[in-house]
Amino acid sequence: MPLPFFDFINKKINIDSLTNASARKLAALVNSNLLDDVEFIQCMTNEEHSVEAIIVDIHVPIGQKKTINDIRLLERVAITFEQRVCVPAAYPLREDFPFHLPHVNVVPGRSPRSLCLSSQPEEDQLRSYTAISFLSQIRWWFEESAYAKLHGEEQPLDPVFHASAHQFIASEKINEAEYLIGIRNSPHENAPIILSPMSEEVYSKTAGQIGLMTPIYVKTGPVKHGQINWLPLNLLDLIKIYEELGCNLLEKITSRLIELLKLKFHDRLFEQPLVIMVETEIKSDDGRSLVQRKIYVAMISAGDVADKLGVVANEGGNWARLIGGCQASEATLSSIKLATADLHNHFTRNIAAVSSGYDCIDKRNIVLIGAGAIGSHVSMNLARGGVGIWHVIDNDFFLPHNQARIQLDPEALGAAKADELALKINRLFQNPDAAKPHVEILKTTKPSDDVKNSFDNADAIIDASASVPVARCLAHDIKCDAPVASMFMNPTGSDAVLLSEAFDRSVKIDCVEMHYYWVISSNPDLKGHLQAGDKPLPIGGCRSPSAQISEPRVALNSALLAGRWLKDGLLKTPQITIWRGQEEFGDVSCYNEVVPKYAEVDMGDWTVKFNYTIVQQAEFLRQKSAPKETGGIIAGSWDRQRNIIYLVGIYDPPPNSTHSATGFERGSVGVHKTIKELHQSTLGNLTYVGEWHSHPPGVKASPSTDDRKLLKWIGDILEHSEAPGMMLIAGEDGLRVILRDEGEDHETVIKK
Amino acid sequence: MTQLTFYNLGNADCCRINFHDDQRMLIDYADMKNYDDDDDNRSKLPDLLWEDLDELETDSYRVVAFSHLDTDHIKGSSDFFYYDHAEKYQKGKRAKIETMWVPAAAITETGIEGDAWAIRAEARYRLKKGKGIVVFSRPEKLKSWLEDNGLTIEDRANCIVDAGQLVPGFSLGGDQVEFFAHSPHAHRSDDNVVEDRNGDSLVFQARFEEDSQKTDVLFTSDVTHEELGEIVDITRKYGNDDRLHWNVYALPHHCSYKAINDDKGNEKTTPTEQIKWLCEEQGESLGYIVSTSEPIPGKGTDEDKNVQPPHRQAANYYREDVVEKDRFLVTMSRPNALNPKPVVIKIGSTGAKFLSAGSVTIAAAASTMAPRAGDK
Repeated sequence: MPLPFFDFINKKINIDSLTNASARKLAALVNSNLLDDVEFIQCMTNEEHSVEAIIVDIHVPIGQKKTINDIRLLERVAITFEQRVCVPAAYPLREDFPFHLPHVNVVPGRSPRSLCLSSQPEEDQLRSYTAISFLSQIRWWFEESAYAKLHGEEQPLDPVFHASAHQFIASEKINEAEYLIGIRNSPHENAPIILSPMSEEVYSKTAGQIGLMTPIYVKTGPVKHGQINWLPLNLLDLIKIYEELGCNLLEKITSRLIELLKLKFHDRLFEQPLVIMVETEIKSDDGRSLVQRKIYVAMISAGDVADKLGVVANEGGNWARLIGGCQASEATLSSIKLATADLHNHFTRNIAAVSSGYDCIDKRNIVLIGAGAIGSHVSMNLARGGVGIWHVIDNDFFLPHNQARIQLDPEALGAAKADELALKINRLFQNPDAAKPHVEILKTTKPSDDVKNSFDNADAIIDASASVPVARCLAHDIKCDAPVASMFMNPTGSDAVLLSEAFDRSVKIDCVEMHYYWVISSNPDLKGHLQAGDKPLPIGGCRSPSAQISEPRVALNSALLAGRWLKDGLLKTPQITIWRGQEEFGDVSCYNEVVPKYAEVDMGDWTVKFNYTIVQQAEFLRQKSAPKETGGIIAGSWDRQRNIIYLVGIYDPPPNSTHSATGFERGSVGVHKTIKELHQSTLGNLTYVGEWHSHPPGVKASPSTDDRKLLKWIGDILEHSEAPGMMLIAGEDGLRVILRDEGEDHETVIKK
Repeated sequence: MTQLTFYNLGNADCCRINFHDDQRMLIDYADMKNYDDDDDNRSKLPDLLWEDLDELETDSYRVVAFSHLDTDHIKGSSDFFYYDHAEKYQKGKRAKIETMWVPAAAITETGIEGDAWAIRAEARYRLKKGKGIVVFSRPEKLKSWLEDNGLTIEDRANCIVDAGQLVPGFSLGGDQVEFFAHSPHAHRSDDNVVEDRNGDSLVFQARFEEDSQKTDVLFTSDVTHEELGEIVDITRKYGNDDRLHWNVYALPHHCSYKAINDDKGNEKTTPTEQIKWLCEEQGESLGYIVSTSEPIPGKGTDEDKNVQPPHRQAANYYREDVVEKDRFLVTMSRPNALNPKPVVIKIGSTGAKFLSAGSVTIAAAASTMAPRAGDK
């Protein structure tokens, strides 16, 4: 229990005697009839009149739901004002107030405890402080605490030590058995001290450094949360706090100091200030448990502390165990002054996820192909949120110009990008297994066993290679169950593209890519999307240009890609997402389209992959035109390396076409323009691949003599394209796909 | 955020409900302010309501319920609302009503004029059309009127809600609110020969739900203890006790003792058996009672001697025996009688909470706790 507030502030005064301007304003407010939930009781001060207090009753707006904590409808509070410019403090005055609640300030000794009303620094609070908002904060504190809502699950179970002069950093993995050393990474006095496991190698590196400290690690038994509420000012305080919790801290500290003697360099350790790190398991009422580590810094060296405790003595410059030394008196213990300090844990996946606002830690095995601009940004964006165990594939090396937009440090120049990116992720988590590099190319050679193994165990593939051959390799050559997402920018860097397979890979990335071309060719809002940038950046000669795209543009696009990919998770349907940015960094527009089912049929030496909606569209146009026939041209592409024909869409008949019940002659008006625009908008990735037409109602899709002639005509047109002619016939029995390759026709019917 | 706003209108009613999805409902509309009197501290009702609608960029209420056609519940309504039945009520800036709730009397009552006439005309127009209206009534009570207009009860069954039923158009699952109709109920509707506006006025329970926490609000218009007693008896008879549970009790008739007992009492009105059950067993002691009335008179004052409500003795019963003293809220007294403000009650996952005058900055207070994002 804290000492009563009125032990410190015990002199009644009139409102008129208040000298602090803020106190006067607050007193005037609560004395007015403007507020109906605060009642003025009296004003007080201390003997020195250095602190003024206004005592008020606060009506707490508690609902009808049973409260979780003992907060009452009416709470009496003292609001205190110091003479310096500062935010007032609010002290609950009820004797049986639940001071163990979170967000009651930790104070030295047994001083009265005030409410922790804001997590902001005082200077920020002062900027927005008003008397009415301060009263609202108090009311809000009570209201939220009544239902245990004030303390979120993400917050530490016990209060941290604010306003500490020291800051410490340590790995969560440090354990009691290890000897530690406290070192600084910066010559600045207030730089944080990093607690690292002690080794001869580490210690030799620190020779001559200033600001070294000697930490000892002490572990106590579990404690219910809310019990450690006092700031110890000296070693006696510290020992008493833990004594009340059933832990003999003195014994533990003593034995740890004695153990230091075993170390080869103990003489230097005894000369450095002592740091006591106390680890305690804190258990909450709702069953949560959290390991909490507090730091106490002695104002004297470890040797002096050990000496005062009567366990070690320095004789002629040598430290030695003191046998039969007297136990330190309370006066001696209280003469060892302590400062409290906060401990920051090393960056972990958990901290990463919490800091990023993610609900859980995402430890998916992610294969990243391409450690360039997009790959390095996206992977670091995700890794900083604790996302992914990374397998980085790239055979390229880090060159000077890469520093313009690749997330690697200058020290990595000349090194393999995959190695350096993996190293960077591993350093982030201080974990050598956070990322693994594979310095090899995916598209031409067979993957190594290591890479195969990565794909076998992958949960997700991110293709940031901006390479069509890599995407094709992922679609056809790599054995992998994990869905692929291709991420890239358009040539000018203004737009970002995310092509995503569904979780079941029912439509592979090559078909998603084909559909992407169809989308950009048919959506007027995406006009000019693939227009080449007009300023190529020659790097290794004219055959090896790199685009002029700024780091902000890469960063923006990468953030969009990473964020969306993470949000999408496992998709039920394959999707295309395109962000169009403006040159002046204004609005970014987003276009999203679900990729339809793509069917696949083998025909002779070729495989035909076609957008299944063509079947429905051809049937729709057939019925619309009935009883006359109709038709038009087909847009698609060929992968001549793998003998694949992609059919992505069909066009309506040109206006000068001739339709009859027994035949269809496709007109010419607009065909040239359509094909030219198709080429331009897709950079030649889509083109004319054949013709389609319908048969009248009741007639099957079997080719007539005229149809055979048409197929030959198509073959002639495409002769120099080194690709077979394609014809589609929509009839009563479905859509017939006919392919003529080297004079031989192959046919199949796709049912409606 | 779901909340109730009871406007300070003297002895008159208008309560605005903000639903969780930002749609709005009004229960009564009585613009009582004398705009020529600078000392009149009653709400500028149309201004306040338009401020709210304008902020939402809408001009429409999901529901407007007229509990009955007395002036203190409808005054000025024909200047504020857009009525479909006549062009006269469509000129200028007017608030549209998606669905109108009225008691049967608002259809059948005769010999009325002004705002009441306009409401009746609109209600009749909507009932004839068969949409945009819910009439609280025994269906039989409307039979004659429907037949005179070439309609049957079956034709308009979707527009009529009987006591003891949930009002159509809302569901707890979808809307996080449902309404249970209590009055006009069978006893009154069947037996009344002479229209009794107060007895035939709307009484219903609104049940809100957030995070599994149900919060009940009882709206009782101007009924007396006799009608309330009948409601209690009928409701209990059908085992619907929970439909009279309340976290917020919008008092009948501006804190009249007649809503408690026939005998006012000297210091405190003693409740009838049914009212005692309704207030002391069905109400939450940490709940709120809202009296839409002038300030409660001090003992021996001229107002105390006035026969009109609010009655000190009734208030004493509510604040001494029913709820915590500071949870008895009088619209013309909060935060003070000189400068009253609308009484706002927030409904959330811990029940109903009164937003005191000082709470206006609570959002700012809460927001200052948010940690700054970044690498700090």
